[in-house]
Amino acid sequence: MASHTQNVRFQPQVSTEILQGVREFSQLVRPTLGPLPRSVLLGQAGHAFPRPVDSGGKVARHLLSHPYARSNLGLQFAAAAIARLHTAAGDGTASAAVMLESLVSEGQRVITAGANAMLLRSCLDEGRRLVLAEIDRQRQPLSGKEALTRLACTISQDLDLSRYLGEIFDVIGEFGRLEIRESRAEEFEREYVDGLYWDKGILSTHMANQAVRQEAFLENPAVFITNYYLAKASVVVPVLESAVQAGFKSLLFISTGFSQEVIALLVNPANQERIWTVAVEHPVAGDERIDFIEDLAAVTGAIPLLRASDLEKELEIPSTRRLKYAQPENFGKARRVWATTGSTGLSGGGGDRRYLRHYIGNLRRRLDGEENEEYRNKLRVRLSRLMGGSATLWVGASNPIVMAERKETAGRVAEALRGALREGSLPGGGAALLAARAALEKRWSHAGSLEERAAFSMLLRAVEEPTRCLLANAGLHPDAILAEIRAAGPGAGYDVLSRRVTDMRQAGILDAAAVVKASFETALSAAASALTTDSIVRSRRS
Amino acid sequence: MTEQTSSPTNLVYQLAGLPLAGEASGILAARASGLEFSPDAGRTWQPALDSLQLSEPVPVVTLGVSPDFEKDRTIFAGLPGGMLRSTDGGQNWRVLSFPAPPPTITCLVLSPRFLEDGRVIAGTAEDGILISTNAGDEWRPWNFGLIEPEVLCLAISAGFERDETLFAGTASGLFRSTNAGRSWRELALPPGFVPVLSLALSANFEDDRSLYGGTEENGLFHSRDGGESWQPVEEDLTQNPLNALIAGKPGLAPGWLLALWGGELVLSRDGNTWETLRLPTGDGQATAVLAPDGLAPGFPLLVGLVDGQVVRLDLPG
Repeated sequence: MASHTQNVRFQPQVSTEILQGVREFSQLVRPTLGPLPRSVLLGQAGHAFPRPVDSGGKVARHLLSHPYARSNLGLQFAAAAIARLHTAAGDGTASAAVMLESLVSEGQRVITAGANAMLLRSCLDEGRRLVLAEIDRQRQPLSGKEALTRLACTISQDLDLSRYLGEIFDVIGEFGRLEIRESRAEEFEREYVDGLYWDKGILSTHMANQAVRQEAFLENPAVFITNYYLAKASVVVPVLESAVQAGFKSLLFISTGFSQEVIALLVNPANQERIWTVAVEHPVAGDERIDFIEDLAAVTGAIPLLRASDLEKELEIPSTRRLKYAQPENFGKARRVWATTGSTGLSGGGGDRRYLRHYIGNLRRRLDGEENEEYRNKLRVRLSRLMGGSATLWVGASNPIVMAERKETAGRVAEALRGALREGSLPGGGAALLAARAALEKRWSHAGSLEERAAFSMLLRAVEEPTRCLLANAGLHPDAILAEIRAAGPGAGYDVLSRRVTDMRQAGILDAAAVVKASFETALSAAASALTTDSIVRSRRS
Repeated sequence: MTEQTSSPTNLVYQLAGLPLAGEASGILAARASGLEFSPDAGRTWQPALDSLQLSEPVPVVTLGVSPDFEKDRTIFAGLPGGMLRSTDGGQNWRVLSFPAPPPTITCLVLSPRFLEDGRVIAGTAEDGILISTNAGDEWRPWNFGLIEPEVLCLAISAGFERDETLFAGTASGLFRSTNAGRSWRELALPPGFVPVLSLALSANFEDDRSLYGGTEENGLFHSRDGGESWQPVEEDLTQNPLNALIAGKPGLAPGWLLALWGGELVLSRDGNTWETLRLPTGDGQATAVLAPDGLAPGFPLLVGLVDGQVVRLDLPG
């Protein structure tokens, strides 16, 4: 059985270790920055050949599970921050890494020279707000297939993939659901699905009325939603009777679960003659199940029969009894429903459109006010359900390694495009960060304390760092070109492909604002933590 | 000057011109009793769906004529339950197939480059937008962002080839697509300005971004920025439905706007002041209007009436 030994470190060893690890990580991912990226070879246990990657995020993820990183706390710290950024924003990882290195390195120097780390952190936070405000000032909405394709290409350097993702996000928008799946072909393909669908299918193949394809397809069905587990056939009969009386020929019955007894009732040919019923379960549990039920009710106009469990316990009411009261108004409508053994879809919901609009508006307002990323993601999923469709990108590749690579890249670019649709675009190639220099310089010129001067000076250097790295990767001398960019004014940057200083927006070189902001914030918050850490307790498995 | 023409039998939903250079232009009338064709600008009418040998009359709700009709002779006729297509100028018709259940087609527009891209966009009563990109052979729904499935009218930009812009007026709002109908975004109308029954885009929409929308009873509204912001136009044009709008073309009478308002035809030369055009059969009787040559002084209008007649009316000088 494994045990843990602890290893404790104090200053100045802590600073040295952190800087060394952060620097090492930055050196590793630097080559991946820019439109002419070079690769990092990642050795893989059990694989004969190392895998070349060109994304800082992939390097970070690889390192997190690598024994070397576990013994190098600075490296582990940097890799964890960058991996989180990679998950959240999809891009901007190498930029964050080089900014992090610059901030930690400069910060440790000024702390050694006598600056107070906590005051420095507070000044850096003021600078963070200043830079983010400058970034926001430069944001422009991004829309249209061409602009999205260009941005995707800036991130992935894969024109084919970018064209597909540009088109897909032009259609599905910020909230649209995108599934990235493996294709058997070598090329990309895409598919759009009208309406909403979820990953729960028919509970019996006897419910399939399209015999050849083993699918169920219902035209103008009633939609009945409940969160009861349906154990007894007798409790389901009133619902079927009510649907028949309301004039429906088919029924989509959505519940938490159905017993074999209930399924036998629903697929009984005599009952199917009267009303063809497709029974499917909710896709999720817990609070998300209630969200799903509410969303489906808004789309279809159904009034769900819900089990209010606490109340029922108190009143000793059997939980299934209320299904007896199924009324015609409990049934929602849809134009069409399809269900396979693995999934169910619905389009043309019959809910009141004014209510649906109001409902979507409320969710959007909640999203705008929500800061927790997990809840934000849940709200986005709900909005995508309500907005009318989803897309699947089929990724093709010649071999499994390329497939994994392409799927990973597609997911990363998709997140960045979603962010760009949400928060707009910025002049690319580091130009947006460079444009923040004027505000930082102005604030620096009014700085009073050592910490203030140091913080704004550190930030001035950090916002230049992605451009410096990008230029160096292209074999250029950063200092001279940075001076040229400065002379060209805000929005100017260096197009390393055409080898000239240009207005980046006009040249179509764009970055997603969400990515640039996340990249900068990741670097700054990681640096602030690193600079205010004084001791380390490391657990080591022995 | 007005001229009364023949007296066919049933309510006219829509009139469409079949432009043929060097020949007398034909006119199609979509009626509650079916589709009729007039080879002489509305003087005489004949049934147009005889080749289908239908057992009972099928109402035709809307029509779409290829912008290159002279070359491809293609016409689409939207019905409750589907659509018909003719590729020989209306002699023979084919029933097109749609995803089940059968849709009720309420309005139709064809891409200005229909001959090349085969794109037809159909609005429906319950299924939102259906699009074909192969001249009607196959259809699929494109309702991303279109949360209202009851589409009442469609309008397409003359610069569609470049801006891919479409508008859809619906029972509860107005939607715009800037990617050829693949996804839709709702536009913020002034409160109460629904349902949107009619739309007219400036022929120069690509540059001036001007469009008008007509509502059930809240009158006319105008946008000069492609639909981002709206202003009510004329308080007098309320209380009655604005069922059709026709905008003037550049080179003819660019500022003109013709509206079918509560059965009356009203014309504005500047978008602000309106005059009622007198119908020979009395007011409040018009159900459809066609300006085969556009709007300009002395140009003809063909007007479908509630009793099924189609009359000709010349625009005032």
